Amino acid sequence: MADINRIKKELKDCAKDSETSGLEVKLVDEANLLHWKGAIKGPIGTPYEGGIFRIDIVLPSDYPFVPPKMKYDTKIWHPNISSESGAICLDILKNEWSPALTVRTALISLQALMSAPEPDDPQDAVVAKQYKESHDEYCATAKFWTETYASPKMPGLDMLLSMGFGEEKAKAALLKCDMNVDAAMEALLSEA
Amino acid sequence: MDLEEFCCAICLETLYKPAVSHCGHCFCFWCFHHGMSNLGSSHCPLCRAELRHLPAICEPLHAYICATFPARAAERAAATKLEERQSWHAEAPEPRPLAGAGTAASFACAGCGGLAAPPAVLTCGHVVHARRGGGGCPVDGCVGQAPEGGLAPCGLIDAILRKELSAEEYAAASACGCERVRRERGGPPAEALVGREVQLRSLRTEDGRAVEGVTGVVVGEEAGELVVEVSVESREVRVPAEHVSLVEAARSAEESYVHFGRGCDGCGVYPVVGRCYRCADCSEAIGYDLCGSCYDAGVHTRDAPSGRFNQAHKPEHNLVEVRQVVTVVHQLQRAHPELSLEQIVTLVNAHVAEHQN
Repeated sequence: MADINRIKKELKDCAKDSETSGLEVKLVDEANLLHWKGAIKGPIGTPYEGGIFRIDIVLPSDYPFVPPKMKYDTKIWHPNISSESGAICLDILKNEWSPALTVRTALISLQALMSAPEPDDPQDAVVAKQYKESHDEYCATAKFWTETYASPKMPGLDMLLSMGFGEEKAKAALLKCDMNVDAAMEALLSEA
Repeated sequence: MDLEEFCCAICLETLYKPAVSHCGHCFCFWCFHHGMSNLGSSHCPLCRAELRHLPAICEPLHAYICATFPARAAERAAATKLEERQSWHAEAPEPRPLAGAGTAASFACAGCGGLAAPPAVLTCGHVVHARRGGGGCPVDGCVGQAPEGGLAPCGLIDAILRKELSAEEYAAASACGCERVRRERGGPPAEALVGREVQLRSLRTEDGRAVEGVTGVVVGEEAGELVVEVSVESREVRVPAEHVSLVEAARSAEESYVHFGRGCDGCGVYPVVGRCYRCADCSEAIGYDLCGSCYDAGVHTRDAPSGRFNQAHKPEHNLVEVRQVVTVVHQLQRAHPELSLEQIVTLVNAHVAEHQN
């Protein structure tokens, strides 16, 4: 049986300083305290800067004596996070979990992991190989993924979506045209 | 002191019936218990020091919290009682009334009688002066102990003492005879260790990581420190004698058998390794168990209640030896001594899951 009092306290603590911490959590459904959605800001000075990364958080019934289950909902290019599924390779979410840690501290660890990837303990072998062998390329890809998948809503995106263009294509076109909606629309139309 | 300073890092509530680890960290009795692994070694949730013993309530600390925050303590008592009935089906022991409860006087060292500054807590819950070496509890008949690595000061109790005592009183309390005991008990004499295989408490590797459990051979002694040739990096390191422990000769299968989930109601070792005895007459669901050495010492025949979970154990009860049933986990453990039990269980679970699919 999960410790409901502790979970409620944790939710309150997370809300207290969301302005400064760059972290945010909310319940998916107010009636279910065990399913959270978190959001973390990409750390400044990394290819993830400017992105908002959404995390799916499920608290198992033995929480806090077993770690929370976390994965990235937002696609991210990072050696320790699967570019396919968002699965995370981080020791404190596995064997090194301790009941004195909280969802908040785990999210802070994820932020730290984004600042300092561990390519020798990879989750995504392709990203890890690129990180080690051609670092510039890795930075560029990670930055592109951040801009494409993690950026807070782009101006004009809604309009392009309402015209029936696919989300990924619309985002890519906007990026290519420096966020100029008219130019992006023209580009998309000429493509089609 | 503020109520927030008495917060348990596990339940995030006010500490209730607190137990203090040998590394000096405080948790509620049940939080401490549930934070331990019933399979093998457990670690402190805050500093990851290895924990080998079930929690024992630190009675003076409990009394201090109850006296300082009576309303909050009563709330916590009611909530814990409810949980014990509904979820745990077991009870934490009830601390006895204590002389000087709520004052510094209750934190007397069980060894010298003076105030325990800096304070530390043995595996039985008795308060003593913090010490570097291991050893048994000085209280007559108590099977509590300080692990070989010694006892670290408890920050919370220390804060209480510093608040309740003047600087002079604190200094006087910390300059007691226990200092002498501490040095005498600072591990085995260095010259007896030369040529023996030892395990280092921790080793800083050349690339700066701290590794636990590295073994090596003592090749000499220099300026009061041991010179140990470590096996992993083939180099020599200098360490104080109390930072090593002797590697014991390989134990027989019976001696190294792990009774998963069974803790000793005497000394509290958890899980019990080797011989284990269970009371045939105690009716509590949690049972009454003893490890081989507590059984040999006759802990179960003493008048004073000895259970760690408030069992109504009586000296005339009969104990029977627990049969060592060799499970697949035990077999894997013997075949792969290099794997931790958690790793073995993960492998078994993965294997079972694969078969079910």
